[in-house]
Amino acid sequence: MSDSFTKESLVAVAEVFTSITARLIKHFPDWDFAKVTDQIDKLQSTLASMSAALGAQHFVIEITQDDDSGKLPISAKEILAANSDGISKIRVGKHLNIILTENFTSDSPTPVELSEKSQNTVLLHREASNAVTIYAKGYTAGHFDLVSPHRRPPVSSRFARRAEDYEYSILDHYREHVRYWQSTDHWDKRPQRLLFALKGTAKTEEMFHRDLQNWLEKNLQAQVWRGPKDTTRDELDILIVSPKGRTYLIEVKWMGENSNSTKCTLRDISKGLGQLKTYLTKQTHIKRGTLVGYDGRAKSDFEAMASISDEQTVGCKRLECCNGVTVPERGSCLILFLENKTASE
Amino acid sequence: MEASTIPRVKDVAFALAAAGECGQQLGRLPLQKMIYLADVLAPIWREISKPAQFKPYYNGPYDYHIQNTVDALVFRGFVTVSDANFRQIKTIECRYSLTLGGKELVNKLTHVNGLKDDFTLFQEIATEVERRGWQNIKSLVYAEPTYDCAVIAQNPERLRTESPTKNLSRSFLRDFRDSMVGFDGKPVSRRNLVQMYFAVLSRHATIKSESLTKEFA
Repeated sequence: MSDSFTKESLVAVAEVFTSITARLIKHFPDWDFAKVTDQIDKLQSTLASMSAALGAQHFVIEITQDDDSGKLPISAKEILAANSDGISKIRVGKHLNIILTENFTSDSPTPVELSEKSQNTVLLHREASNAVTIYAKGYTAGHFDLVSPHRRPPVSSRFARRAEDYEYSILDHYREHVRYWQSTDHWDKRPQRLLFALKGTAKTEEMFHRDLQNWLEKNLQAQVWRGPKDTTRDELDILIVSPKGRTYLIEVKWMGENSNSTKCTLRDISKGLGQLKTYLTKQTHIKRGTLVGYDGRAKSDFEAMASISDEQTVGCKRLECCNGVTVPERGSCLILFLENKTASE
Repeated sequence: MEASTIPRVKDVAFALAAAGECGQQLGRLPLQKMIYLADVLAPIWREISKPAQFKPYYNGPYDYHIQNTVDALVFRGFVTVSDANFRQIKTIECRYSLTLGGKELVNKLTHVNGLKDDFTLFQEIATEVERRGWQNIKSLVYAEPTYDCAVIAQNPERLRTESPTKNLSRSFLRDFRDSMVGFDGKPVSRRNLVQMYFAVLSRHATIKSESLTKEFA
């Protein structure tokens, strides 16, 4: 392009040329640029205005140029209703009225699935936080921030995971926050492997419990609940609800000794497994449950336990049974060793 | 009247007709601007040559042939003048629109080979200006790169809209046309090209006014 252009005109050319609309027109040359611009602008401002009502709801909107007169306009209520039983594809026409809604087969569609499903259409996906992505004919046509569409979307955490991968998130948390007491700071007397009995208002178990819960809230694409009670007064430690409504639960335990001389052993883990079995038997809607045991005992005790699989994470063992109590169906048990020496020590 | 004898007849007639379709009567300067936009777009719209005589005048690009032509058309009864306002001896404000005879002239011109296509370009321009408001035609033309650069360079030479290198809009529209080929090899439509062009002008006008606001602040 000629050098005679002013800086401002080059900025204007670049903005229009790289706009979402220009990218969509490349995929759909028969569409009208001005109408698509109006449609995208209106959709962005509509979604921004309902962002508070939508909360963290994931959704997929199929953008078409079909006639939609006489249909209901897109609204937060309609989006929430369409996604009440899982993620649905909401097809809108040229005036952003809803033509139909259609269920996705998978729990929470991945970018790869959405690219595939956009082979002949345009899909808008609100995934993590406020990030919105538009896919067209298998390509990514644009990203924007739900609340401020003219900003770039927030960058997702490098530890972000989907609800069904919550066990990987537990291991991420262990590596990043717990193994070398990086965030939990759980040792009262580190050389003697004595854990804090009470740190602030948190008891020994709660130190791990709270930190894990905060981690999951930040990094898991799901609703994370702490200590929910069911009708039988059983209290669960952490409950995870995926966007499609699938629930997972986590029971947190610890082993070792704290500064109050309270000792927890494998018996407490087997007791926890019993509790987990009870939850999973009574609450059949729970997809999977995991008992996480933070092991503050001596290293030899940890190494004496047999793991049913070779875990990638150092300091982690996956148990099949504990003190004669078998891990229930739909359940798992992870034991995570608490180091008390740094690499140099 | 032969279309080829007075080069601007069809431009004036088409501009007034296209604006009239949007319910708009054009003043002297908006008429100039409307035809200027058609001139910068015409080469890429269709490779046609015409004697372009626009100069960067006080109030935007100006071609005295257009004023002469519209006066001639008024004299011959094809165009009517309304809302005439004589502010100063040399400053006359008025609005032009086609008479029934003028509309008949446009109808005949559109049946001349190739001119229907020119009229379509005027209609596209009128639609885009209408979308942004006729009061903004000035800022759109001031944001046109060829005019913008001539003003910045304080170049009083005529704006060479027919030149492949001097018409900057033509240069970037060609880039647009080549880069906007769809992934299935389908070229971008002319309508979309005009719409994108106006999107660039609008954005450029906004950026310019924002930077002016910042300067004064």
